[in-house]
Amino acid sequence: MSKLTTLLLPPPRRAEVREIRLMELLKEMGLATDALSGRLVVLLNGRTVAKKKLGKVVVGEKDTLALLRPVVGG
Amino acid sequence: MGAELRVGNWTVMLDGPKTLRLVRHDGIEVILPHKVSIRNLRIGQLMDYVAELDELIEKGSMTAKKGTTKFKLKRKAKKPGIWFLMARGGVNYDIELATSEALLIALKLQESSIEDITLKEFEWRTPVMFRGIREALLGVFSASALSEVAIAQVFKDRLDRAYIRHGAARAELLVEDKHFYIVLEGAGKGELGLFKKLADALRLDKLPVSDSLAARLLLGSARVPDILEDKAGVLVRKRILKELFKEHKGEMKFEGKHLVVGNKYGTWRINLKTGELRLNEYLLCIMPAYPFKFRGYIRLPGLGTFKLDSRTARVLAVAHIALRPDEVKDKSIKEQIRTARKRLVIGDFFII
Repeated sequence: MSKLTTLLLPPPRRAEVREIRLMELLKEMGLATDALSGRLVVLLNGRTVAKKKLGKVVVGEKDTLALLRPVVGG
Repeated sequence: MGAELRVGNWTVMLDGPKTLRLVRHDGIEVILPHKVSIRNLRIGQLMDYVAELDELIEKGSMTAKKGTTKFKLKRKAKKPGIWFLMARGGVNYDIELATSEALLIALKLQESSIEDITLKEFEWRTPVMFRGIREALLGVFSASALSEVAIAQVFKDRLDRAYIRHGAARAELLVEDKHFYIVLEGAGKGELGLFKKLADALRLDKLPVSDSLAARLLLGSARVPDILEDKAGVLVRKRILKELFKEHKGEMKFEGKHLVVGNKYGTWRINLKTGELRLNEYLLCIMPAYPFKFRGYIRLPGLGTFKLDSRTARVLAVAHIALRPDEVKDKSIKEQIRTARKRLVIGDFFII
């Protein structure tokens, strides 16, 4: 990509993603109870976060977090 | 030299296993590429084709309605050999066509959508176990379905842009360098709305559209939210998978619409359009555990937190199974993985 093209591109749409304790974040989203009862899969950078570790883990600015509905076999 | 068949004013010839060439006594010619082999094409279908083509050539115009769109195809009085296709309603565009292109599109507009439903049904249900049978079944049930890829080719040559409005979804379909793209201008609050927010955050303003879906959108037989199960969905999900599972970068390989993961269990294939998961070609039956109030969330570094549409959420959930199978707790999924692991695939057949 040329310098000119880079200059012409719109700036990235960056939102403020601050460092936060996982449990705090889940509470903010109203999902803490679901996470603690296992009705929510918490993946931090692709790894499952165990229920007992929810209170200790910190989600950093560069971390990717996914909160997913558990799946079962049909 | 191939066989020729005379049907009314037309001579019908085979032009390959899926293509018919029809030549009228006055020299008008139309090439009809089909979705599958035409060996099961009925003679009645051929008679329908020639009757519809003759009527259109005699009248010089036709109208059709597909979904919320009205189409008008008309021969230009002042320009011999040129036709004008106008779409109004859900889909809006105007294009000029050569006679052979106009005739092909006219037949497609008059085609029943039953074949499409049957084709989709079989694509979904037919197991990979006997792939040869799939083609044969499609031949029997969809022998008359004209190829959307061929129709797309016509639009690529003739169309610059079309405007589409389906409920809250508003979009512009563009042709650029012989590829289709869609720009979502409005998407409502449903699944498409969630998808758009994610795509916008990833700076994917112009999303790719497959030839087949573009043709169906332009002919009124598909809707804007169908992009969730097309190239656009694949592109957005690929980006998220790469971000979420960056620690597994070496295990993930993207092949077209599939994410392929290789590990001690065998080869996992995830269809990024549908969220279908296969291990050693064995389809795993997986569904959400709870009728939950949400489908999922993703928090992307520097971009924020986004609600997921159901397909994207499913893709992430099944990718997690493929990449970390040892973390699976559900008994039924574990049992399916055990069964699939024992399977060895040789060519198109399984040895169990």
